[in-house]
Amino acid sequence: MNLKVFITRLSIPPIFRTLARQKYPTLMLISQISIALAVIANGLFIAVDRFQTISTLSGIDESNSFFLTSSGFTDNFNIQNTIHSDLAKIRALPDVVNAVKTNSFPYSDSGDEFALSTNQDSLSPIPAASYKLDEHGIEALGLELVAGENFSTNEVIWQSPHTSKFAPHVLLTTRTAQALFNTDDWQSTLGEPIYIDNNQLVIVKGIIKTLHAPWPGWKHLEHSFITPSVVTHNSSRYLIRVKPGTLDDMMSEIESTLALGNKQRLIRKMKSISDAKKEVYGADLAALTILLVVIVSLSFIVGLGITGATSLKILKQTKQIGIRRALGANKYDIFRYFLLENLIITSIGIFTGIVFAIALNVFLVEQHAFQKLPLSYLIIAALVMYLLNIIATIKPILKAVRVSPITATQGN
Amino acid sequence: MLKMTDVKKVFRTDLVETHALKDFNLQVGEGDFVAVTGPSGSGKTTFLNIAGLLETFDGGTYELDGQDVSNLNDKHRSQLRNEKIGFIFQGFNLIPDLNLFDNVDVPLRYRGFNSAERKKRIENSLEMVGLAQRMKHLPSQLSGGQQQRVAIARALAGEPRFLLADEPTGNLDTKMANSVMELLKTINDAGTTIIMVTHDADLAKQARRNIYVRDGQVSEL
Ligand SMILES: Nc1ncnc2c1ncn2[C@@H]1O[C@H](COP(=O)(O)OP(=O)(O)OP(=O)(O)O)[C@@H](O)[C@H]1O
Ligand SMILES: [Mg+2]
Repeated sequence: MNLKVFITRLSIPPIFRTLARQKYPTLMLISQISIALAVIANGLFIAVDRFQTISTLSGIDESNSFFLTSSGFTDNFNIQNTIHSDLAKIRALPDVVNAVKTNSFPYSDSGDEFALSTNQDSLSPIPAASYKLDEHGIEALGLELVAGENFSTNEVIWQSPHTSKFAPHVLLTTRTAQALFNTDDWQSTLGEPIYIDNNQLVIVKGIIKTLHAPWPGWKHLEHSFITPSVVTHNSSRYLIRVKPGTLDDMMSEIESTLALGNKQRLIRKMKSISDAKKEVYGADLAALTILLVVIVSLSFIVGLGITGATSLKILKQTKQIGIRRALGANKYDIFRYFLLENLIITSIGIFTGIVFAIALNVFLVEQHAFQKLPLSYLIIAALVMYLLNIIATIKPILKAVRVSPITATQGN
Repeated sequence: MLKMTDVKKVFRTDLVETHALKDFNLQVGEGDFVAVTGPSGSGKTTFLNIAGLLETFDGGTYELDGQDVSNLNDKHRSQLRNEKIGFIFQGFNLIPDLNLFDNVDVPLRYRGFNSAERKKRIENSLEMVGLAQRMKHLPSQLSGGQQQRVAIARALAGEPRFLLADEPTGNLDTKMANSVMELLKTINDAGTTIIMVTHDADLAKQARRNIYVRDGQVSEL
């Protein structure tokens, strides 16, 4: 069979004319497919976006770290001494990798934001979160230094919570350095001066690969810097990193060691970083689950609807199939006829669905500061709809193929 | 042209076995016009279905145009139906969602004719049955007699050697039945072999040859 004959046998123009006459069933199928596509494309996009947010790593050793707060409550409580001896005790434990006193940590949702710039009069400074850590910070958080060096012990300043003076050196995250200096050459940023809040000059000493700001969902999540300081606040937060597999044991061991060692304070708010993360992203996780359930059940329902509509249609056309067979259509012709008819409906549904999906996305972008829907999601959703359609219609179509040509002469 | 020798057809259901054709013997020559009569349930439609390759049979031999067609596959049978046989049914059996043009086009597309050839044949055959002016109409917009004329145009557009008709006038009043009969006679005069099942003795008399089917067997009149 040559191509021209093949195309003639496909009977494409009559299929279009037939569909135009069967307005309601056709429109119903088209609208089902297009709405499903619009919802699936946007839903999938939101789901993947959520999933990426939830699964991005903050840069610290999330699964082996925990934090606690030590709060002194007596008058003669010496903060600096307590921090010194607490950290020394904790660091001495064999299963502890390192520990640090910190003002904040990723997922804590509390911290300090500063504006960084390369010149003092900048009108568009870079927002970044500050982490106040001593020289153990890099190891305690499990950070990766990609250029420059860590602070030395004598660079670390101890300061009261009321001062806002910065030590002369800072470490920046790669994203922060990129935003400030507009370069990927980290080496070239070392030794460069930057301004904090347009008034304090500090020098870049090193670059950290990743360290997220403490506020999940913040627009500049990847912007942060480390300044070598320990703030002597009555309540001190320690972040402790332990060897893999020892987290639960070490949490209780350290809690009791600290509590027993110093009766002038309370150990509170002890929690693993993983748990803190779960709490922060709980709502997102629930939304993601609901979204996936909606997408899957919608696909299922639409698939069932298509199967039903196609079965009904083929049942109604049994006589017509018999006539076509009597007039010379073979089984392949019947198979191709309905496959093509379905493909045409699906394609129109997909086309209008894409228009719909873009409209829905534009609405989401304008009303809810949502991101633009990438083309790839439309393509994926279109492929899903084609596949769904084939799965949903293959059984009724095979039933059509089995209609006997004698149907034409029966039951006049 | 058409030669059936001891053709048998058995319908089996869970409860009963119906011997619809028993040693059915018939020979039809080129250009003949055979009217088939017989009581209800005698096997007329079954014979026509087998003759038209719509149905397989269980015994005997059937030669169509000198070719043994007993053991052909679906594709081959469909092709022979398409090329050699035209069908006219009692219920007209036009496709309701297609206009007259597209209805006549159905067998021509399966034949693989190009669009100019199809257009020419569709117009000629609709012209022949006097409906060329109504090509864009839907079947539902026509009377029964007109619909049957379209069905005849559709059956003839591919210029088949055989025209098989199962009670083509069964749903028509006498006047329309006669005009369809006149049309069939004209077609037969032009050389097409016709086998027509009918309940109408007056119409049957107008055929060149009459056969009577009883109990799944032929008895010539
Ligand atoms: N598909 C089938 N399954 C079972 N039995 C069938 C089938 N088709 C026909 N028969 C039986 O075969 C016999 C012959 O049927 P057929 O339709 O050929 O008769 P007919 O001569 O055309 O009758 P009528 O004049 O009523 O149209 C009948 O007994 C009928 O019930
Ligand atoms: Mg009959």
